[in-house]
Amino acid sequence: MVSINIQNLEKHYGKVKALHGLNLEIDDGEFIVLVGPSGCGKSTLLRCVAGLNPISGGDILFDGTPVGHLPPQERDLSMVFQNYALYPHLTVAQNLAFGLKVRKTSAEEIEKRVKWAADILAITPYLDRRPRALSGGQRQRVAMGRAMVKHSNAFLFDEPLSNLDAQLRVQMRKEIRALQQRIGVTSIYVTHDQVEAMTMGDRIVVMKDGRIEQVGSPAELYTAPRTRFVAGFIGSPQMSFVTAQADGHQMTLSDGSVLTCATAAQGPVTLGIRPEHFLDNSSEANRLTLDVTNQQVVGTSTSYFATLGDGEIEVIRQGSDTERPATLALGIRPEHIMVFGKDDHRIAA
Amino acid sequence: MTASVQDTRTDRLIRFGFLAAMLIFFALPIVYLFSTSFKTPDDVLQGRLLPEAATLKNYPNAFAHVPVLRMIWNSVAVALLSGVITLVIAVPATYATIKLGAFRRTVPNITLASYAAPPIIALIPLFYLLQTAQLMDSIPGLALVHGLMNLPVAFWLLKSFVSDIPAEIDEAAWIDGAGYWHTLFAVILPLIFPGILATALICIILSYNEFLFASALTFSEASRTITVGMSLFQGERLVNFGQMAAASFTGMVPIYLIAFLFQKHLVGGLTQGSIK
Repeated sequence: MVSINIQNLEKHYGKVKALHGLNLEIDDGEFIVLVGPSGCGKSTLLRCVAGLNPISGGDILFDGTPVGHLPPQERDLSMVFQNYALYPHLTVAQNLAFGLKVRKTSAEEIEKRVKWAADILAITPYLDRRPRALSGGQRQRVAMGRAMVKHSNAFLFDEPLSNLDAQLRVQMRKEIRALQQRIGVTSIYVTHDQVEAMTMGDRIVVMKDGRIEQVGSPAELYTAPRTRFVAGFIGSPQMSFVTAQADGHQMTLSDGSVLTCATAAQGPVTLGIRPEHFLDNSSEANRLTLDVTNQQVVGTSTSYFATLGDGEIEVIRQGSDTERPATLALGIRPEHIMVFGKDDHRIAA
Repeated sequence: MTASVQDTRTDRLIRFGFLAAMLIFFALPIVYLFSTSFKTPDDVLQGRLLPEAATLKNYPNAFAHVPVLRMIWNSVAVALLSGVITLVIAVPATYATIKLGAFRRTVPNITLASYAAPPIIALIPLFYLLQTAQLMDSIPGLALVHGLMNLPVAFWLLKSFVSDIPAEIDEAAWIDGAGYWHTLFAVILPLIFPGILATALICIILSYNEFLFASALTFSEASRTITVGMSLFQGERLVNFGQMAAASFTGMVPIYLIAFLFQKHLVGGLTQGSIK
């Protein structure tokens, strides 16, 4: 296992810049998740680390040794692909052993490691089967096993759960995380699903347009996003945004209502409020009466959509409320209102 | 219900009629060739489908006039050797072009352009090249020419098979530590084996049937192929059609046998990429 240091990494496709001088330090044994919308460069970054995409500038260091110029064969990594990429003509056991055979590992050692991985992943009964005779979840486990047996420098995951159904995805999410903690291998995991990112990563790297927006623990990104993009991307349901005119701690919305914030600002700003931060308690500093425009019951909770100022906001409350109320009387604490400036950066309290 | 049954019957009749017409269209020349091989010269001139007085003499006479069996053997040897040459070059070339991106834009266009050019323009340069390499009038020489001549066909056939393998399969092998050659032999070759077989068959058939280069680059009995042998039945004033048909029919047997035995792979190779 190694620490991975990404220094001023650039990737160009002709005139198009896919990665703009990225810097990132990943500790030995850390599970880091790259998250962002499609086209943000997260897979490109992963493939650069793997050596599958040649880099255009900067470097990648494993334990301080530059590897940016090395082909994938010489980086000693394991990778789990979105479509598993198992060798269709080989059995499960042969798939697991392939990388070890390439490295000329002894037959005894190969057998030992294949058995070890198969036992952990509960795929021993399928060792003689070909990949086409396996279900999606089983294939996923074989792909994991192929990564495990090599005892490589790091694991790279490229959206490995996106082809699984929702239930299996939740299960595999737990299994991958538990396995990574058990082996203690440095891991980079790419996903566009922020729930996956929040539940799996030691740290999350939020990317946008080939740049890193913010790096932090899941809790840090949720409670202290640095930009409006991160605030909107992290958290489910998504944060609601309304524009306002700031005068110190007083924020005047377009409909004339005034909210008090913990943050002081001047001029035009955007206010961000998480749906789960609205309170029933009307004794809070900010009291609001919202006109409900829509409502969705999601089992244990209900989402209400209402207009506030010039925007539509979402409010989430516990319980299944089948009858739609015309209005909702709610409160919001000043410290739960995030204020973003014209450059979409958060204005600190 | 009755109407639909009748429709089905009508459909079947139409289908049967169409297939019968197609069968007659394609089989008639072969039947006519077979029939001609038993005709006397007078019968041939009459132009009837069936001989009036069948004779078996055309076969021994043809074999006595021209060394048919030797030429068939030469054809088979040239075709097999040229198939090997084509595949040895085409498989790595296709992999390098399609998967590794080597000359990805130029190679497909160049191969297509070279195949579209009339083969006769290559004849004189090839003549001198073979003479310099001391491969003129030899089976390896002709096999080399056929092997190179069939490269564009092989490249375009293999291209669809190689393209169909997801890039992640190669990448997984590279991540596993396999070099490009190792990936080609251990991962790609087994996956495109049906394509290689189909391509080999098509190249072998093309080489077996080739006449232009074979007639210009071989002179002796030791290297002449059966297609050249056919032309030897044509005298200055007289063509011995009966013997020619007997030799042609004998010459067809090996290639039809190969095509018959491997027809499943042939069809697979020719229809690859046409449906998803």
